[in-house]
Amino acid sequence: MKLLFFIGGGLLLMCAGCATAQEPASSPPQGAPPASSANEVISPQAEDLLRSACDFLAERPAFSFKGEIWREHVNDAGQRIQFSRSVQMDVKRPNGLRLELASPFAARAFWYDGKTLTILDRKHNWYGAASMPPTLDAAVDAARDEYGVDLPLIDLVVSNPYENATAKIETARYYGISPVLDVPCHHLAFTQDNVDWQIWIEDGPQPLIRKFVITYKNEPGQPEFTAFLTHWDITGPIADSDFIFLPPAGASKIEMRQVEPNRNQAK
Amino acid sequence: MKFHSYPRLALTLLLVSAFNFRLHAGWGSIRGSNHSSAPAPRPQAQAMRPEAHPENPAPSQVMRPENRPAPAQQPRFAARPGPVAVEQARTDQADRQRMDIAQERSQSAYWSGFRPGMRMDKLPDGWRRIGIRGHDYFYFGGIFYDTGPAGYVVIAPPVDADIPELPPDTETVVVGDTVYYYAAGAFYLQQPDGSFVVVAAPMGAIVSLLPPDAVPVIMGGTTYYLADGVYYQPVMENGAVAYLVVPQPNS
Repeated sequence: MKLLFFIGGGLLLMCAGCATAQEPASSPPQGAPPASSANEVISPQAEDLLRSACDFLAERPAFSFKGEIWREHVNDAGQRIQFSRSVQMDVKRPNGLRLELASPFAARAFWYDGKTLTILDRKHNWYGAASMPPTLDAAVDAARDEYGVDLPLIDLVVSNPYENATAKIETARYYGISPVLDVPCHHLAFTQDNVDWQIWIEDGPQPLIRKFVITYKNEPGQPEFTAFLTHWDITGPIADSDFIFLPPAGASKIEMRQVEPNRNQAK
Repeated sequence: MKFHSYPRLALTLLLVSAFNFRLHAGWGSIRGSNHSSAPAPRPQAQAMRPEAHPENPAPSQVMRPENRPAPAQQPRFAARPGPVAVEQARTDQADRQRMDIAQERSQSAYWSGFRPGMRMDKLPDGWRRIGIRGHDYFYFGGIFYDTGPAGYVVIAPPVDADIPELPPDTETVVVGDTVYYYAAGAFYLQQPDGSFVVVAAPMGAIVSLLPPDAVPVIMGGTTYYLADGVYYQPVMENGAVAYLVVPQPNS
């Protein structure tokens, strides 16, 4: 991919060189864009605000929130359709996670207790379970690599959210204060090679994440994932038992299929 | 296959290889995107444009849909997408499962309101005639019809039915290195001439939605779903419920 980028970039430079050769040397083009280096900015303010929000989360031994997530799907006509889920997440570091994703058509619940990841399909009352590593960081990766499970919003769950979020960023910008459901927030925007993302962080002593958008810019139609996070609770204790799955009455266990070897591996 | 004999398929493969190269990204987290799988081009999936017919054909004598052949009897020669296209189809299938939106997507699909056995006074505008071994069936939007006592009756997708374009809202289903397209209980294989043919449900296929006429059956203490002689077993794949085509279980 990088090779293609360089080839493409080289062609662009050659074309730019041709255009430049036809221009008088003393007349720079009107409205010329700024030098490319000026676009590749890392705003210190954006970095500082993101770090404060991430460190605030990392220091919480347990927290929970509710909210709503939207995931866009591009249909046959090329139209972006938003599918929404209500979400509730409970986290207890280093090895407790409980997640509910619900809509009238699909409702799934996830439990991770340091040993097992269980996924319950509430609509059918079927569940699957798989052994997991003993920490959240390793478990979210194992869930993805071994079982193909994408857990939304796990960027808030990992032990070092700042390092996780900034691992591949190319630019970081700060867009000032804007409201998210009436809460004044700092609006930050980041770009990466494969996605762009934005985050809204509460302005105040508790830098809570209130909104989060990921743009899948390399996918057809550039669909987005959006999350609004509400009902934060960063004080209440969460019992260990909340992360242990107890099958509901009548629930049936079904096979949790592993992905084939060499699928979904990090590249 | 002589490449120049099938200009439509050749054009498709060219477009796939040249312009549809894209990265896959996990959804809902930066970590998932940073941890994403390999890129590959996307296979062909065309919007349906059924040819228009001015009026419905006259109902003829009643004929029941023929039994489906055994799964081993795959018809004709399927178009052979390259390994990259197969990998992309596999990735698309996994992405769709992870999003867990099959039920919602199907609400907008034309075929979602039909099930075998439904009787219709007339065929929908745009129907086309499908001849299979001397018998005429009718087709529109992923739904197949036979003539009935007083009009038409929706039937299970007849094996060997050949349609020029996929119905809307198909899902890709990869079994081994073969790419199938699935909608409304029908598995389609693309042919070298670019058309799509209904084939028997392939063992090992995993679909997000059951055929519309599937009914639960409990065998050996396990719940399966039975549709048109094919058994589907619920499984959890990529974090969401899906249905695996299995041989007839022992009761």
